Amino acid sequence: MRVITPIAKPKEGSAGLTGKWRIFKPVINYSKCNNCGLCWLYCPEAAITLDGKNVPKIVYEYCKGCGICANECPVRAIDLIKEE
Amino acid sequence: MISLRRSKVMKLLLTSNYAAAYGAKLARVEIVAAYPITPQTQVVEKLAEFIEGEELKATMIRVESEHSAMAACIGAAAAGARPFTATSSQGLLYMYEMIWWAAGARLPIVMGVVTRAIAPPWSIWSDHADILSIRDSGWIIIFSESAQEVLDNIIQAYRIAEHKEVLLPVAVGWDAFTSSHTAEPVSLPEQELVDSFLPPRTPEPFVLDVNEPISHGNLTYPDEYMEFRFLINEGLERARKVIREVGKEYGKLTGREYGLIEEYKCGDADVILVTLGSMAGDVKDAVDILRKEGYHAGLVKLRCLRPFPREALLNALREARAVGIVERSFSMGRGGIIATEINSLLRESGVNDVVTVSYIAGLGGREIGVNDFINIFKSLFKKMERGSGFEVVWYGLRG
Amino acid sequence: METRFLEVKWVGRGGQGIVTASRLLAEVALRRGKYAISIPMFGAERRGAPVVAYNRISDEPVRRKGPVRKADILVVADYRLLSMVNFFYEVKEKGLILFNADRVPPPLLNASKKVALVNATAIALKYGLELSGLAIVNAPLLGALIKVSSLAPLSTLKEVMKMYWGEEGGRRNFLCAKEAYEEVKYIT
Repeated sequence: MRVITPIAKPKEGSAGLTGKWRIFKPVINYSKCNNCGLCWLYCPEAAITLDGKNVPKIVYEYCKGCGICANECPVRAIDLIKEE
Repeated sequence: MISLRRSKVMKLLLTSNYAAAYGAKLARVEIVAAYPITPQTQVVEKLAEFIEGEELKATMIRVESEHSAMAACIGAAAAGARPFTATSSQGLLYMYEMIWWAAGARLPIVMGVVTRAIAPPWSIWSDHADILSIRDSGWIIIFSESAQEVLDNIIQAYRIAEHKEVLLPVAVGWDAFTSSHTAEPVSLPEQELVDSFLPPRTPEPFVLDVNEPISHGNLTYPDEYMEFRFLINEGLERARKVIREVGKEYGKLTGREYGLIEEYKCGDADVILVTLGSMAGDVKDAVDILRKEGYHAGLVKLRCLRPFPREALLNALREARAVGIVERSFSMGRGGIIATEINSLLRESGVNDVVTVSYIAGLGGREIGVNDFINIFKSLFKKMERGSGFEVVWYGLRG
Repeated sequence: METRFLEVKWVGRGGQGIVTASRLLAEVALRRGKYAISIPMFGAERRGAPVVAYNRISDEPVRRKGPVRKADILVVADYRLLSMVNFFYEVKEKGLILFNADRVPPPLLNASKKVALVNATAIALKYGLELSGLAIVNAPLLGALIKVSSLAPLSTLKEVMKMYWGEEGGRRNFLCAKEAYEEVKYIT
C-alpha cells in the first residue's frame, strides 16, 4: 500500500542547481560586514548560512542572484558582480 | 449575406488566449469582468488593451475574485448586456457557486476556460478536471482544438447562449499552454460579417428594468423547484439542434463548419480514438501515419461535452470494434469521466460487440504526442480481438 | 497525408527573448506563405532560468502541438547551458546546431553534427540590446537562423521586426540581425 501526500520539506536545491540561473553574483565584502544577519534573514532561497559568530556565507550552487541580500545589507557589504 | 471567401480574410499569428480576446471583441461584448490566473491572464490583458485603445466599446469591471467576476457577469446578463469572462483551474473552483447561479437563472453568459490541473499538488499545466467539474451545472460546454476554433467557438457561443430556445451560459475550453500560449495562424473574420451573424442581444422579457422591477432566483418551495431543474435540462436538450444549426450557418459564412463532434476517417475504422482539445491534432497525424501502414484507424473529436452528443457519437462509433477514449480527466473512484459516459451510451444503445478502453493521459500537462497515440492505437488493435468489455488504463504512469 | 516539418528548438534563459524569437520566426514563415506554429514551454518564469521554445514550419497546416523531440535546427542562446542539456541528443541526424558563443565551446570541437557559430551577445550589446545585465540575443539569432535555414530573405525579417517593435526598435533589432546574418559561420 502506498499513500503519497504532496508535502515538501525545507531542503537545499529542490529546484535543482539554481545557481546556474544567476546573471549577477552577490559577493560579501567581509571587511565591511557587521554580522547583522539580515542577508541570511531576507534570502528567499535560504542560500545564505550563518556560522556561530553570525558570519554569512553564500551557497553559490543555489543562489539565483536575485540581489535581495545586496539590497537589504545596511552597510552595503554585498556587491553584485556580473557572471562570466 | 456576405461570403468570407470573397471578402478579405486577415490571417494573424495568435495564441488561443489572444484568439479568445479577438473572438470576444468581434462578438462586441459589452462587459468584461475577470480575475487574472495563469494561464488565462493574457485573454483579459488583450481585452483591456482593446478597450483602452477604443477598439472595443465595453466596460471592464475590476473584481477582487473569480466569484465576483461571475457575479458581475450575472448582473450584466440579467440587465440585458453581453458579458464575457475567462478563468482557469482554481479560479473556476472559486467561482463555483456563481457557476450554478448563472445556469439556474438562465443567463446567456460566455466564459473562456483555459483548462488546467487542480491543486494540490500545485500545477499550472493542462488538464480537464476543472472544466469537467461544471459538467452537471447546466452550462453548455464546448471544447476547442486550435486557436482558430477558440475564436470561432466564442463567436458562436453567444448565438447559442442567447438563442430563445436555449438561454443558458456557455463555457468554451482550450488547453493550458499547449493551446493558450502556442501561436498559430488564425483567420480573422471581418467585423461586418460577424455582425451579420451575431446581431446585438435582444433582451428577454425577464431582463432587469427599473420601471418594472423583478428579482431573480428567489426561494422556491418543494413543489416548484423540480420544474425549474427539468426546464434547464430541456434547454440543454434543445441546444443540441441549435449548436448544429449555428455551426452550419457559421460554416456558410466562413468556410469553417462546426458540429457537435468532428469525425476524422471514421467511415471504415475498426479502432476509433475519442478525444478532445489540442490532443486531437496529434491524433489526426497518428491516424494518417497508421493508415499508411494499413491500419483502419479513426478519430472522433468531441466539440460539445454538454449537451452530450448522444446520436452523433452513436452514429460515429457503432461500427467500430474498439473505442479508446483518451482524456485528461478522471472521476475518482469510478473511471475516465468521458469514457464512462461513452461506454454507457454504447451499452444502453445495445452496442455490445465493442471493446471500450478509458485512457487517462496527460494529467497535469504530462507530455502526450503522436507516438503515444500510435502506441495506444496499436494496443487497441490487439484488444479489439477480445470482442467486448471495458477497461481503464492510466497511460504512461510511472511505477 | 503525413506532413513534413521544419522543426526548430530554441534553448536559452529567461530574459534573452527566446519565446519572442520563436514567435517572430513563425511570423516570418507565415509571410513566406508557410504554415507555422510557435510553442513556448513554461516552467519557472524567471530571468536567468532555462527557457525552451519550439517552431514547426510546414507547407501544410500543422496539427500536432506536442513539443519537438528532435529538431532540424537547435538554437542555443547561452553556451553555459551546455552543462545542463544534452544538446546533441535533441538534434536530428542531419540537423544543425546554431550556437551563440564568442569561441568554439570545447564539447563542440568533435561534434558529429553540423554546427554554426555566431557571437550574438556581442552584437546585441553593440546595439545596446541589454536589460538588467542580460543581453537580448533574439534579434541576432534570428538573423543567423534566417541565413542557415534559407527560410526567408532578410527583408521579411525586417518587416516582422518593424511590426513587433515599431520603427526605431525594429530598425535597431534589424541591424543586429543583419550583422549576425553576415557573421554566422559553420565550424563543422
